[in-house]
Amino acid sequence: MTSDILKIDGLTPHQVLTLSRVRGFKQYLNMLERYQNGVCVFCDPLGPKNRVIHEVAGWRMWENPFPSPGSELHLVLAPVRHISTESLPSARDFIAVGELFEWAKLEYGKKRLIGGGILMRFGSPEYNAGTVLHLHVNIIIPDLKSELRLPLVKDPGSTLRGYKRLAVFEKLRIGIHLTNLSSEERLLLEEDLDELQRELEKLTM
Amino acid sequence: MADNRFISMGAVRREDQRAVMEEIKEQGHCPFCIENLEKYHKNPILKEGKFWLLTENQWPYAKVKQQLLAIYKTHIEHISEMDPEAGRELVELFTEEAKKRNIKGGGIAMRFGSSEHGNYGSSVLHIHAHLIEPDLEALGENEAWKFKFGQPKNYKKKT
Repeated sequence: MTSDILKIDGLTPHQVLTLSRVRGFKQYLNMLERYQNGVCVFCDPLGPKNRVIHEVAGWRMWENPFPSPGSELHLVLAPVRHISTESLPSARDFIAVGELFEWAKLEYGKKRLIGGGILMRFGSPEYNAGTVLHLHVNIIIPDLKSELRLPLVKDPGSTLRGYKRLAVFEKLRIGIHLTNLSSEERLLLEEDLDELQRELEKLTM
Repeated sequence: MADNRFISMGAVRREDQRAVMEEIKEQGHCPFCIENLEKYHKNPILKEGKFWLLTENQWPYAKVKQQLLAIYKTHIEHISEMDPEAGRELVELFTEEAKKRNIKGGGIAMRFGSSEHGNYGSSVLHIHAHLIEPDLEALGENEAWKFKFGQPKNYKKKT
């Protein structure tokens, strides 16, 4: 499987796979640092963009700062302690979820939560397209202006591209200069090179 | 032809499903209400909990290895009407069955509600949940597997 393509010291193949799905270099650095410190992006301290709106009995909820395209509202519900998505969830971990739903119902009202979906990924990330290996539930309210579909499997082509891009991120992280990348490698970056340069400068400070 | 507020014909995916859904539409039934379930759903009930009936989807999605279906036992169409304890029971029913079947991974998904501006992907509005294990080997080289949560009214997929 593709998880054998790239190895990063100290990381599991599933962690590497999730890194191949990041949006950009900055997120890659953040997730990598957390993995190396034995935590993930949904563990404490939660990143500043994930502003918790309610917490109950060891679970918390926030509005996804990067909502799925086509959604009017995207809520994330996750336990505070790290529970891995890599194994099947246990029902006893879900005591607080009902209470969070009840709170969201009152906070947002039935008009805003008129309809939508709930998605929880579990097991191997090869089977669920997950980027975060910390158990979480997504509540998504589509805007109904376009089709909204959430992936459980990414297409192999984009997975391979993700691994190749990750290899380029690794090169940059260990100090290879942007100008020393091949044109094919630069194309894989798919992001603002000036912004990337600023991130690289922060790394060397 | 009669209108049936319990179903959404726009979300029907398969021809064999369409024939049964046409009959459901004509009868004005909710196919997931207990009194109608046996008439339209031909797969066995694997387990019954306080809130849910566990079965297999009669019309599974394309390119899935396993697709379990949990049907709420009373007629509700929105999560706001669900008992707060029902989520926990749903996870319990799904995970027990997933363990038995050695399901490697996937998603648990549920749709709810309805809108005049489009649909949220459900062919039946009675609350139900899916557990899906995608079939990686069946997918083509450039093919992803995605679960639909919404589309505008009169939406036509680009081909």
